[in-house]
Amino acid sequence: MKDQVGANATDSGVNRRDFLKVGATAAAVAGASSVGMAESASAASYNPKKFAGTTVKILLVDGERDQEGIKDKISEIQKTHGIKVEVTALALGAQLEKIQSVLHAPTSEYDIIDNLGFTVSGVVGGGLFTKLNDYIANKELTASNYNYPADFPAGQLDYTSRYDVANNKFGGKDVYLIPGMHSGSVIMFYRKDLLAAAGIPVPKNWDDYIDAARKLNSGKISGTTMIAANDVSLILVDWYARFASMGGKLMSGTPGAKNYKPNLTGATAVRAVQHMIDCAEVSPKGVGSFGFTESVDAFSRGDVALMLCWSTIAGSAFNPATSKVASKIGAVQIPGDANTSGRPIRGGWGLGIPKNLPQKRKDAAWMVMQYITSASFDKYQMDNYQTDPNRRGTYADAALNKKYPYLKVAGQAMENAKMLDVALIPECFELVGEAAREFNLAIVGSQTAKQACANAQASWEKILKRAGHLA
Amino acid sequence: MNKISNSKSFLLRHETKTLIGPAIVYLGLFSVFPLLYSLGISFFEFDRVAGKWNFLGLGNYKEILSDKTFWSAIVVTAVMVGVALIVEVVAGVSLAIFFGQKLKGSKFVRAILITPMILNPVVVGLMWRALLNPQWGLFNWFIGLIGIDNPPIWLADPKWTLWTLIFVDIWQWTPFIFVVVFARYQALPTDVFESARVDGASPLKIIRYITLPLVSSAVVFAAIFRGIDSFRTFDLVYGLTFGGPGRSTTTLSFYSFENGFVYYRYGFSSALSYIMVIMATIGFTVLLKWIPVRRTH
Repeated sequence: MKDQVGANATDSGVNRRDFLKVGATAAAVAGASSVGMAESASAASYNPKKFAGTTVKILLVDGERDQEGIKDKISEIQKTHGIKVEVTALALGAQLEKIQSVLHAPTSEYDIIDNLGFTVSGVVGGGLFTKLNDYIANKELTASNYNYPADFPAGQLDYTSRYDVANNKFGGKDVYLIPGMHSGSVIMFYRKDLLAAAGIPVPKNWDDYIDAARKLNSGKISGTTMIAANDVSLILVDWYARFASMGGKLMSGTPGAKNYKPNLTGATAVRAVQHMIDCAEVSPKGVGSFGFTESVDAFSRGDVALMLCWSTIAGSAFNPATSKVASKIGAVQIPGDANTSGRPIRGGWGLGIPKNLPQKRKDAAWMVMQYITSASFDKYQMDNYQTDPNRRGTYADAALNKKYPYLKVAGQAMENAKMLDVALIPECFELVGEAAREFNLAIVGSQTAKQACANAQASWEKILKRAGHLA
Repeated sequence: MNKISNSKSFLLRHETKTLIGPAIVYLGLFSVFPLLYSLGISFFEFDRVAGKWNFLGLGNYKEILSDKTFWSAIVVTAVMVGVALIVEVVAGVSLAIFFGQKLKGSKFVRAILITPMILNPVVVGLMWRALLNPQWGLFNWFIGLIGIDNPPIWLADPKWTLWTLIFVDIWQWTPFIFVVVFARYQALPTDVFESARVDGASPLKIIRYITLPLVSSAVVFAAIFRGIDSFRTFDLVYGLTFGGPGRSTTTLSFYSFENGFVYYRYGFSSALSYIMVIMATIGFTVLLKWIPVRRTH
């Protein structure tokens, strides 16, 4: 079943029915074994208290509410595992910097580290994390209901879990990370009331999207909003969603063959930038300086009709305490094109155990990591903090779907999502940053879409040559 | 007894070493060692995947000198330092002289005036980002009250962003010049001013020929401090514009930070920092030679 879904997810996407079927099966497997991992595991030789008396330190990113669920469960973990858990959450930049120093130190300060998907090739590819296959296969150390890999979206496993270190490629058979603390992709948010009043159907392709945005744009309401500031999310959320869904192929060749070349001057890349320029005309004033927060705030204030965004913001957008339009919005898959379906970018994180740890600390870390990536914890974290889950069972959970109607849309996006091509080289952020800078200038009117793409192409080629990925 | 006198004489014999020793150790650990270490890594590049340093020789320096972003960052930094410093010095000195008149309520206003200086620049950046928000920012609302209905998009229009950055820098740091010059001004002997008044000098002439020369040492001190600070401006850029749009507000420090801590190009970033150190040393040595400072006793 897993391989079948994996093939669908990678090649042509999964339709809603398939997704629900898979999710329901996974949910049944996870559900049948009950919420408490320790209970069902007691039948096997799984012993959660095997490393009682140790302390496990976890390094997470701050600002995404990932640490909240763990903090709630510290005393429970102490009770069930006898392990003391300490959590450190740092802002993204500081966390990435800390990871670099910790992984290259003689002994890691942290036992579990959460890694952003875009950095996996650098840290896991560098052989800095412990291989987890033996842990997963060990019945004494892994609960029988852990359900790895079946309960995780196949594409996510090939992104923030399995890695082929020898060939420096995503996927393969070796497991280095477990998807968590949250995953995520991009979905489309829209104002149901405004579309209904104007008699406009929910846009299914990019031409419909800009048409709808133009029609809905009025004095008070902007047709759409975007992350259009000089920010990597301009590329990751808005541009790549358009580009990939329009059928664009970002790179050709491979880094190993030194012919890894960007296709940023192609018609699709230019069209995706032009679409953003067109959208800027019907976006709130100053959208060129809008980062994630400004864009989401404008939508939640009720100033905007359409928006693409990380699905993880759905929790706050649908929450009346944080959104003025909570009851008036809907969420669907991002638009596609004539012959393609919407292909958002794959986001998310992966938890791993540093290689530079003594064996006993690694073993204790695995026990805790297993707990915070378990089906029951995934549901707890989603239900209490609305972060995007990691497991299919959570996305398909009936009770959660009733409470959070966008959840199945987010789950389907996760199955369909496409990994950013350049994530497989450590220069990923630098490339994305350069393109964001050029496209931002196009959006604020300082250059055309074609010029922006040509400049980005030149910058990318320079970086790729310097890094030895392009001869 | 003998032991005590022996140790006393040891301290006396090694008095100089004992007194300056801690300072030398401190400087060695926290200044000289990091400087030499960063100089060393400026000749290398760090391979993150392999986790090793590759020797490049002068490769990083060559790349910097042929990098158009480096040259644009020099222009941005020069404009920022030049314009901000001139305005801050003029405004700071003017305020110091104004508040030196001991007007009623001036203590209270002075306290408010120095508030921006005590805020963290990143916080200032984020605060002004909110104030300049084109949708709901208080700044646009305020200038709307004085008849400017269609203000520029301060943080998204490349024609305006550098000037916005400079404006915020001036807002935050003019109080620094004010405080330093005001302290000097308050310490000046009053008889000089009284004599000038008795001799019939006008207030403007007193400022031109007495006040300014007497406070010039404080002005130069404050200007050099601010100049160095402004030259390495990073935190305000980080909070307010993140170097954009495009490269319109990318200063040398921000470019160095970006390469070092966003792209992990430690060697390149170190080389860039060294070029900045050389530029700053030359620039401020020349500046100190040019600016006449009157010694006052």
